[in-house]
Amino acid sequence: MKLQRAAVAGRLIPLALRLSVVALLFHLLHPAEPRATPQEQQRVITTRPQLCVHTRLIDEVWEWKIQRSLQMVRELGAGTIVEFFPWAYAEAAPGRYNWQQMDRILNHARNQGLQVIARLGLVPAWARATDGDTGASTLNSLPREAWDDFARFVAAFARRYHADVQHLIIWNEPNLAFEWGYDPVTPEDYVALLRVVHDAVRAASPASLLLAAGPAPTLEPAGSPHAINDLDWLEATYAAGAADWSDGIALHSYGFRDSADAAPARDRLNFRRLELHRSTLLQHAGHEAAVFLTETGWNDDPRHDQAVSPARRIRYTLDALDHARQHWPWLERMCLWALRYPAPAWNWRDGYTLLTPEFTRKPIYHAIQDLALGRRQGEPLWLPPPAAPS
Amino acid sequence: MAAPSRRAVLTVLGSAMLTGLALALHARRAALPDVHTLFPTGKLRIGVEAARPPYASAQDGKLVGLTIDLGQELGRELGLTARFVTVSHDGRLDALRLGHVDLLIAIDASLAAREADVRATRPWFDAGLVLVSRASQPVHAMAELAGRSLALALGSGADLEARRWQRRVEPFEIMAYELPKHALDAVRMEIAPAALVDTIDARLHIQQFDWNGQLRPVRERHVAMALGARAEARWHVVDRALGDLLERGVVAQLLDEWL
Repeated sequence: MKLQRAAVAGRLIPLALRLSVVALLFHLLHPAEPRATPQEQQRVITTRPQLCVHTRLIDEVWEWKIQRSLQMVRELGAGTIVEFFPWAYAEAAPGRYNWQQMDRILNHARNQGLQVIARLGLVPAWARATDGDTGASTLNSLPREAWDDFARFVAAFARRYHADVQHLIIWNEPNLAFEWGYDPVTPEDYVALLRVVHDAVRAASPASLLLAAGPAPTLEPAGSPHAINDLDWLEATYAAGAADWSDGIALHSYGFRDSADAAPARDRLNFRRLELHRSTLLQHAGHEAAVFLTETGWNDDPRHDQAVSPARRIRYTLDALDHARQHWPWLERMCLWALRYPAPAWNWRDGYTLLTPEFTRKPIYHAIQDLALGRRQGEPLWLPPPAAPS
Repeated sequence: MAAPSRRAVLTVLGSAMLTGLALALHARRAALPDVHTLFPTGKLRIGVEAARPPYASAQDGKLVGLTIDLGQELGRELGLTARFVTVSHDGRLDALRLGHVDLLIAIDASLAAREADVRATRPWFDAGLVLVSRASQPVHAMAELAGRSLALALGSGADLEARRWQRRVEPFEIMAYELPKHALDAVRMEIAPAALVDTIDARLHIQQFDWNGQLRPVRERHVAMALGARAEARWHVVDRALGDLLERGVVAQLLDEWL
């Protein structure tokens, strides 16, 4: 009996081992990542050198999607992108940099013949300020003790990518409490941060150009805990010396519900508010700073009260590009927010994109492309409102 | 005495286990802390985006909308005073994470599912795309559009969805208008057999023009409330209260009032 059992076991154990090896091999099998090999060097063909789009590639998992996005920027006729390069992603541990994803983006951008403006921000966990009571923090909580660390990161970025990235935007919409983890911030603080970063970057990469982050367009009243009025912010930062520690500014100006030619006013948010921003700079900077419009556009979400219909969004965007070309020769770039998100935002922000996450072109993409490539314009894109039969 | 059969023993054991499980779940539910322990200030701070009618908007300095009324009902259900805190879209999740608000009242359930530190309640509304036709000449599904036309708003979510459907079913013609209301007018005036629009546009139009439209869901988009994932006990009481409001038809009544 024992011999019989031993014989059975002797046959089963090798069989089980073989099956395990086969199962392990099956487990290790997975489809290969789609390849994203660089193409022959491309160049952008356009009649609109100011045209630029803001991309969101840093959170893209698949390299081929980065490549496809940048191909579609080039095919749109835009020669420049603005992309976000978060400190938190590059330096998860102090002094230990991981540039892999940033290398991917910049390699593909170079391959497509695109210029890149880099926006830098987001604080790694080790450098973040935390709430004393709850220990909570946000990715925007930057304590003063971490300013030198942030400056070191910006300098390392500038040094590494000086051949691909000339312009660096320091932080984002600094007039919003949200952008500082709901910690209080003043224009003077921001200028002090700009100075710390300026000194570090000048030493590391003298050819790099720093752009002060433009304020979010807002009519927030004085004393609000949420934000400072954008015009007040600009006056205060330039009075505090922002021009001394930057080479230009990256402004934001959205159209909201107004048409592209609607006149600007201090108490109104619209596309041409940029003209008020520039007047403020001329008045306070003492010289003509380089102006980049790094976020602009209209939203076409059906539920947002500051949105327009997709059809009007197309009309206003084309008019805005014409307006910039005819009346704003001083504008370096006009960057539309945004090309595409890696995943749906599931909210009104989806109403800003030109492409869906699946790369489906929205009608606005085709309209801008036609304009930038100098194709025929003017055919109505939509039907007139239906009328009841008489 | 005959020994009990194996089946009888298994039946008894199974019943006992199910009863135990039910009791444990009940005990867990009953063991939730008192609402006033969870919300010691007696206030329920509700984060709302104030620029999204009919969910919420500011009129004469006052917040009004579907979510404001729903928040009031939720507060009453919990025995708390609802306090509305306006949050920006960009800052709303951080406001929740930092405890500036207790809950967000209208958030896409798919987004909440993607955020690790946010937990959505059960959905309270489907705001997705619907196929609208005249009840007298109903169109029940996209496949029935073969050889016919579909009205929609150019560049809208419905436009993108219809173009996806054009690759799946027999060809149909797209009639692109500037606005969803024009697409719905085309159906109402018998110019097009059906329109594809979102649920809110469809319900508002039918309410405004008082016509007999039929709605068929094409793509769901669930709206839920969301709390911080660490506030598990709070999540349970809010989700339970919302469930009660749904069960008693309070949410449906609010939807009828606003849409």
